[in-house]
Amino acid sequence: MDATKQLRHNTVSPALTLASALGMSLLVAACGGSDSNRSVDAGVKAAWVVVGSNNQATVRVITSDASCPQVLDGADYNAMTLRAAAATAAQRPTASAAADSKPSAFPVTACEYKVPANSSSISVGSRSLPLPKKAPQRVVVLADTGCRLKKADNAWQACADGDAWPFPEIASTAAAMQPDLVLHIGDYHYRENACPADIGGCKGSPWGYGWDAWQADLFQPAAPLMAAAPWIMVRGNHEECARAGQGWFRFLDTQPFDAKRSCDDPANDGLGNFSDPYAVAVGADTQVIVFDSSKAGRAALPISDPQFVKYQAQFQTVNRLAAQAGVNSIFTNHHPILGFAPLAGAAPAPGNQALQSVMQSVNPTAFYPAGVKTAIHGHVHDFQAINFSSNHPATFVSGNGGDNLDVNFADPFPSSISPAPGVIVDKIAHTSSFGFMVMDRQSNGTWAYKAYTRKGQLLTTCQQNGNNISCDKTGYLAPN
Amino acid sequence: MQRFWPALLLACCLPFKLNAAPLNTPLYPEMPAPAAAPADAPALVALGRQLFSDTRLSEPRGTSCASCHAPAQAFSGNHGSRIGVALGSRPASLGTRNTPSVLYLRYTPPRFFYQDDDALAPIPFGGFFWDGRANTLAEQVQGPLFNPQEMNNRNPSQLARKLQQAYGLEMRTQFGAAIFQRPALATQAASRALEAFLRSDEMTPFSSRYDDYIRGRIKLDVAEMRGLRLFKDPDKGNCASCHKFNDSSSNPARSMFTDFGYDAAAMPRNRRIAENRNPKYYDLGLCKTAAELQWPDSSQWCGYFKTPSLRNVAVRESYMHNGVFGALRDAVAFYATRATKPGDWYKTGIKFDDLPPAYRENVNINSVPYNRREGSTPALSDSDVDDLVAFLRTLTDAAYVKQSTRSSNKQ
Repeated sequence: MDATKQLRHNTVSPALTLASALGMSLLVAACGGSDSNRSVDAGVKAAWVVVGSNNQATVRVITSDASCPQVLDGADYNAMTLRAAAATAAQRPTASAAADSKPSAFPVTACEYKVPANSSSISVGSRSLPLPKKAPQRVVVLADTGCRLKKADNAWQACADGDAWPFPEIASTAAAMQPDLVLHIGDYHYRENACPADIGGCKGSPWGYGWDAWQADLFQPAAPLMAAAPWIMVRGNHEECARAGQGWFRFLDTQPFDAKRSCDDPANDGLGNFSDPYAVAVGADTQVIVFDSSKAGRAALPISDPQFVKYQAQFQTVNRLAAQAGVNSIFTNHHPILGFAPLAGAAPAPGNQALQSVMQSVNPTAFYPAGVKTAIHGHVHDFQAINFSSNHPATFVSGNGGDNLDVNFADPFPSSISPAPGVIVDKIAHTSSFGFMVMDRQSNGTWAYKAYTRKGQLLTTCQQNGNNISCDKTGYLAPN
Repeated sequence: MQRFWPALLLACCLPFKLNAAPLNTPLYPEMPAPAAAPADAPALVALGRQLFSDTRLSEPRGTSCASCHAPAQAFSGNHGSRIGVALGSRPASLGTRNTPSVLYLRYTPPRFFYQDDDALAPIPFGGFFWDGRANTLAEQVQGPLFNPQEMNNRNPSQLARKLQQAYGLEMRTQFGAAIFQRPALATQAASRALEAFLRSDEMTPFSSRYDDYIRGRIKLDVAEMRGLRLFKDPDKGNCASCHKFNDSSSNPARSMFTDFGYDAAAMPRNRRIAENRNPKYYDLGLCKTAAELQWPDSSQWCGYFKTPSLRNVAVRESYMHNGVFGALRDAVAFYATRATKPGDWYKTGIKFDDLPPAYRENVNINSVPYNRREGSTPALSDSDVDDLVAFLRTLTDAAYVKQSTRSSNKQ
């Protein structure tokens, strides 16, 4: 029992002196009550629960206070651990020119608390946080949610306009569906460069890779969804070290914070850009295997490439994680592997060549181990639900969560197009309208995968059967 | 990933199928910012203005740049031709392409490729003419002067003689006493003057109701606002994916209504064009330029034409690169139902009939609203088309509003 708990369990003498009464009031303030909550709430900028390896749920809190608040775990107040103190990282090489970059300022304290498996309730200040359920029934899936501010593209998405940047609406719509779990498949942060002063739609937006941009792109709009359910957080290419990697490690990564893996020093990017895969149980019969492909790149990797060697070992780990009898494994990473990228006026491009080249060395022709029944990705800004007539896991892409959209695929989808050698498409349903996906557990233990628009209009439902899916619509899913 | 093309970038243009940087065309590290106002001398602009309207510069005399790029029609028009493509200086000398407006050319960049870091390949932007064959404005203005179907000068010597007769003193004053000793230099000097005029402030008026709207001076009416929203909506008109603009900026240079890219939108064949009576004749657009510039796999660009600015679109005489449409509403409606009711547009019953079969796979069948199956419900209703047209009329500069009203009467 820690000191806080000991204090809380002290009894109080009826003969209180003024001094002891004052001390008691401080004690109450330290341990709860409305005044204390107000004090904590004033500092807390974001609070959520993230689930990582070994199914460890962790409370994360970002506060403007220098010290971490306490967590009320059941009836006990527990201290949170400091994950990362307020600091400003020196400017490092980024994906942008040096003149369009700046040091990443984090004037906030990142705190964490590992939730015991038997915890019944968790709150921070007046916020009650959602705990993982033993058998989640509904999972919201989304990706690529940030608002694009990118000088090189001359792309200035109107972050202040809900029509142009729908992530706040999507987060609210998805939260209202009362999910038990949220799976975000990467690319949380897109506000990389300063909005020109003459563009009202993004004028004054925070930019760069510091806290303020993270708050605007993720924590503020996602607050309803963070209050609704614990999250599984997958890393996207926008969170690689030369982009928003510093915030990724301070706030989202589920491993202990390590200065060498903080992305602060580009000399350590070889460490920071790769993370070991892990599995999260979603009930007794399903698990999500999380893979970090943030630095995958586009081209096939030579077997001598150090990146190939790292990924190869990681995919061997995936094989081990998926080797659980009777467990439906869902593989998730940011870049589509057996999915497509649409190209206007040309056949769709196949899945990620870098990852495919490594996966073929681990699971020739199959790409995935047998335990993986479905795969879910982001990166391409559309929705895809693909069933294969070859023996490969059905694949989903749910990357239409807020950033500018990709074009659609042709309808009908071109025949004889394959995402990878030996992989044969049976049917595909797709749309590049903004939205998100929901997984609903079925009575037989499988999942129904449902595509929704930003406003919650159901576009299609895909029923899982082993590593196949059957969608009630195929081809282009018209949102209107 | 992505993109404003869109996947990125993004939405209107075919990505380059090879990942190598093409020859003769730079791969830019970032999209260029809107061009700043040039510092051309007023005397040079004045000379260019005179040259632009001088009918003595054609062969035979009688046709000027302004004959086709009529100032009263927002510097577009077809020199009295009624078939959608321009009449040249010789009787019955008709071109094969519709005359684009030459307003706002200041903002058109030279040719370049750009590849967003998420995109799979670089895509081309910039350049002049429907097929991007001129890299700069100065190069562009020489095209019509020597095109047999336009002003028909045989060579620089012939043009230099005309310039010397009409502008000898002025050109010697501005370019030096020796300017006429070499005809090529005289032609270049005239091109430079025309370029100065075309990129002058008077050719970038920004005086439309839309410009007043983004400057906060007026409100658009209900139909116009519906049209604006449809224009932006990626599920409906999706026009802004290529005709790029920014209505949250009071800077009109951010609203050029083009991304300066190219698209293969598969216009119906204009059977009034004489060359099109030959079933083997096809205007292939960008791929000819690509071949000349030795871009790899140049045939992938067959069927691609420049995405024009929509400023003053309501005062055009005809629409699309081949002038196939005579009414703005038809042009908008074509996008709305090209995919869902192709029989309304391709009268031969052959989809994409203005391209040879081998290149029909280049056509963009991905972008909303022309990504839908034949027979399905269009993304845009008839009233949506009307609203889009209402919005497009707000892009007419003040000087051409009367002309716009006349044009609307024929629709």
